[in-house]
Amino acid sequence: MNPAELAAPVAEVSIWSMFLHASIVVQAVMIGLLAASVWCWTIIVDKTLLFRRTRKAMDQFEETFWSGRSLEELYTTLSERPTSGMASLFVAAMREWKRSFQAAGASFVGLQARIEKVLDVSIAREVEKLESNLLVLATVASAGPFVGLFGTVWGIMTSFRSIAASKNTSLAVVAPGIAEALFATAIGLFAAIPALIAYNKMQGDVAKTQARLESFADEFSAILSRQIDQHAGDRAA
Amino acid sequence: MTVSRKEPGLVVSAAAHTTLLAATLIAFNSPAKYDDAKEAIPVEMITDQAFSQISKGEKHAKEAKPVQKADRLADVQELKPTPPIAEAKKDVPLPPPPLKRQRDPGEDDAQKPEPQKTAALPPPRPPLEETKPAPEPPKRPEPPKAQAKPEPKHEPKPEPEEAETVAPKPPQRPKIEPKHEAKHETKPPPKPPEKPRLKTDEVARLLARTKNDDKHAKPAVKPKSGEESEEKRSKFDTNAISRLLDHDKPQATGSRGREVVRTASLGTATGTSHRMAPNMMDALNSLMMEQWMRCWHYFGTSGGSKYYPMITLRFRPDGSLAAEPVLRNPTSDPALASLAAAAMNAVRECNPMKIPSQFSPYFDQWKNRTVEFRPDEMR
Repeated sequence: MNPAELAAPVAEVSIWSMFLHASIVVQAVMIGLLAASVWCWTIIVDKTLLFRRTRKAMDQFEETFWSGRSLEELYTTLSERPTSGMASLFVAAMREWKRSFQAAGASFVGLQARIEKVLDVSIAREVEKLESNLLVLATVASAGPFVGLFGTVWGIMTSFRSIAASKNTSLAVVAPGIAEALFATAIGLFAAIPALIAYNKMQGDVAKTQARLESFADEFSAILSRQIDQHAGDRAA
Repeated sequence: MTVSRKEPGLVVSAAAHTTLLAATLIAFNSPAKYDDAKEAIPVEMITDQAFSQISKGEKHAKEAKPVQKADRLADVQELKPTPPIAEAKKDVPLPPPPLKRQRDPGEDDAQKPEPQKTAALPPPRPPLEETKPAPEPPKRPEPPKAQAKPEPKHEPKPEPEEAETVAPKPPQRPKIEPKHEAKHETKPPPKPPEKPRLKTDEVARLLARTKNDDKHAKPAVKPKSGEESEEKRSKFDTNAISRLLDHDKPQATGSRGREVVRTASLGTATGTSHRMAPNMMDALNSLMMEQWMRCWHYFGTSGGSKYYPMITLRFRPDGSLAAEPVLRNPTSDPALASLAAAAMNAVRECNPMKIPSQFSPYFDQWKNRTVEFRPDEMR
């Protein structure tokens, strides 16, 4: 019989036993990376759904908006329930508009500027809602491999120390430790790769959505500006 | 994070991960095992013979020059004429060329009883010294040879070996005579025999001196070569020669090898040398025994005594005896003496041993053998 086998019974090589035999640091790294992966995928799923909903809602709103219905009517319809995307922009701007007219003797002088401010704030809020948690993906994507590598280095370090201690360089003794260590890097990559891809994709989606919101805000503020001028002319007349 | 219908991400994600993990656990639970790949161990097959021949040398040993020590070479072997080497000059007794020639002729004579094999050496030497005084290099062997022909019985020892060696060069002899002994020329036939005697006598003295210093010895010889030597001639006794010759031995006790100097300290590239494997040695032993058994005519036993005749043999490469066999343990008991005699007879009778050519490369190892004849095993 091979003396190496006598010295160190060959370790089981299933994934689970690999995890159990790893040193505690490597175990922590593995668990952390696994959790990061779960979180990443949570974000990915949620964001994907969110973006899809947002896009659908914006399509729907634009259709309604340009259908020729009166803004007042549209406003009363939308303000009854919480809105998202363009609808929230529209509601915020209309609310500001209405407040200016409800107050008697209100001047139109600053109205245009106020509406624009409100629109900007709304866009920022919407984008912030879309963008939230995307940085987690970025962090996992960039840090995941390093964390995994740390686990690997640590694991290999440990296994080399045990080689030195056992004075046995048989591959059967060395292999399990190295496999465990490499498993950490594998998990790190497993978490990081989808995170990186999803982050880039969603970053693009957010930018697209933001551009769409801004263009709507510009159009809407142009419409409101025209209305303001008409009201001002009426009053003057 | 609250779980809402709008944000089912956490649930979905957790469920997906759990599923994936479970799938992974199942899928990778038993990783594919590699076939047991035994490490290949390079194995080199060598025969037992090759193993027994291993004689690795030191890698960093000084390189030995391929110099041949002439020493004793000559009696047994036919080596190519080696050019006189620096060392050769120091050792008075070594004239390489004559010695080699002696061997071939010697074979025929070897069987005759010759008390001393070394006799061959001394005769060549005196001629060597003579050559120097003579402006024209005559060949030295002639004097002994001349002696051999006229009086073969007087000196059996020098005769066998030298008689033939010189044979090819009879014409040169006349040259020597005129110079050395102009006065004796008048009687050509009788004198040649005498001349050698003078020289041999001198040899005796020379031998004594040579050890002290060789250089002085040579000049001393020159004056004596003439008439002075003749006077001593009368006192000459053949036995004296053998005595003197015996003294000569210690001068050249070097190993007698077919190849003279072996670079023993240097490993060869292959790490093996010409050494007989034990199994070859056994084969040779049994081969020889078998032949001797055929020549064995003694039907007694050793009579319970522990006496077994031990005979030392020297062979030539062709398997014939290079010298008279020597009984190492003579006995006074007549019964055992007959046993010894039977052994000697067997050895002589089988004289040209048939040694297969496969053993010839190892001549070095079997040229000298001491054989013990046990009558119980010989039949």
